[in-house]
Amino acid sequence: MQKDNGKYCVVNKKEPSSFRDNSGFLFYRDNVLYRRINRSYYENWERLTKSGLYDLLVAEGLLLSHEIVDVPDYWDESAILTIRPRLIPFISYPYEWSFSQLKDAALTTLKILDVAVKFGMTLRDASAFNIQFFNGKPILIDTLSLGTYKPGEVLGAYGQFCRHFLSPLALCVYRGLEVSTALQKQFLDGVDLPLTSGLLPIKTRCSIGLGVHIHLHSMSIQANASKKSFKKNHGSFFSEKAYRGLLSSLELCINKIKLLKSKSEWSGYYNELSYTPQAFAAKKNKVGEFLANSFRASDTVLDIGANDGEFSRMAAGIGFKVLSIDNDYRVCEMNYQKVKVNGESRILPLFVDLINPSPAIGWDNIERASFLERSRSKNPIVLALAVIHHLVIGNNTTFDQLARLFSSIGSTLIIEFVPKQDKQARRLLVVREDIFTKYSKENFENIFSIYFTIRSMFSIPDTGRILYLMERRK
Amino acid sequence: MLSHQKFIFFIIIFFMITSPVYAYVDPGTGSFYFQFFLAALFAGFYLVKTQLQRMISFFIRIKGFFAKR
Repeated sequence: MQKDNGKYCVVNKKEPSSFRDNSGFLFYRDNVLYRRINRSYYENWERLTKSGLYDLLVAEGLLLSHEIVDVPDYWDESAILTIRPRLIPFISYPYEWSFSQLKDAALTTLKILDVAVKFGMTLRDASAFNIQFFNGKPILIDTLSLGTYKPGEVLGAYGQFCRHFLSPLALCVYRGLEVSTALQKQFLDGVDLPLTSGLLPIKTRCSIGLGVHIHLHSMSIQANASKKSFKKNHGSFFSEKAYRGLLSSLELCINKIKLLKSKSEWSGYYNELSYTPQAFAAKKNKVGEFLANSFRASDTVLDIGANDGEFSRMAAGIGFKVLSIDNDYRVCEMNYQKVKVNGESRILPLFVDLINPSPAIGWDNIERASFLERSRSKNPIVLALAVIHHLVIGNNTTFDQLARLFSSIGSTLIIEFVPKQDKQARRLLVVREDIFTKYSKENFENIFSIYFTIRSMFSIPDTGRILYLMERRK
Repeated sequence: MLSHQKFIFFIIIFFMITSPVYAYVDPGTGSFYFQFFLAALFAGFYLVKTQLQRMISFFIRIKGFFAKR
């Protein structure tokens, strides 16, 4: 409820990304998300719920569960039902995922298609945005994308699946995740296959999977784009065997795409650089203590420059939900592999650079919210360990800009100050002039004190680095 | 469906050229017709896969049978 002219009123709004499907839409009422289902979806709804498919997909952890509720907002003659889906702690976007996250999301989509066809259903669309990470695993959140499968029909979502999953995965392997994510941001309905086909190396034409689903597929798209007239294909029949074969072929193709191993600048950071074992243990203890003391402020931690998630794991152990971000996709990949191997449900590794976080994009620039907007809505505890020298010396930002940004994200900040004499800070100054005359502990404390109250501080032994626990000024 | 000669010609061209797209591209129709074009291939792939799975499970059963004895 929000206070309006002294009276409390219900605040509701439609979800800006939910406008394409005439089967229903998402809306918020008092910050709770609901899904309106329209009459046009009725036949699909009956099949989904009465065939047992819904129960099976939910039991397998493939589809987000919901409950039917009685909420009158946005009700009109086309409405038949309102459901309240389970809450996803943090909505992330495919261009923020590591390679394996996108790959697992693709395999989840194919698994749902495979299960659904046995119940006479299919996915009407295969957008990567319909998949979210819930309890560490990918899950379909768009219940209404499940529609009736009519024998003889092709997989309508085939093109979209290739654009949303196959294209970025192939680009990631052959041209790098940076190229792949940049194109995913540019093409919200998936990376065009003719573009991908042109970007991939010639050798991929000899691969059966990519040759068929990217290159040949792309040629078909181009051939049909130049056609002047189209006839409805009444006589053609796409058998169920062909349909299942297509799914199997896509699954094989996705499984075969593997990231080449490469060593990151940051992998092994904790082992090779900066700390003695005693100093690192002391830092860990103190960060743990600061986090435990902050638990009442928020249940979410935003770990900036998380590396492979050492401190994210510690926060998750205390009970926090953790957004574990880094600008190096290789360590994001390592972090996600650990999440998978350990079955961790509270950590969400994301490929996000604080210097250039994901912007608000799409229709009206509100369809896909910016990373900071989504983060701010959680009021997380900001964990900024050993990143300040990169942001100030490496990126020429000021203490004031940083303090203002951090205070706008969350009310509690745990930050590590790295002095200019530190080995890592000096490394940044090797090939550049030292213009950072104001980079000192005193200045740092003075400027951050404008935005925060310093609650506690701790000198990490043998390093000259200092840990601070700060609280945003009211 | 394309004729046999057209299909071979298509495959040769496929490995020879990469052409940039200048025109408006409608991905829907291309993906739609492409599936019909390769329907037999996908169905064949499915049959081979299921037969292979059957054979593997048959051999596993045989192996289990002899292991018990």
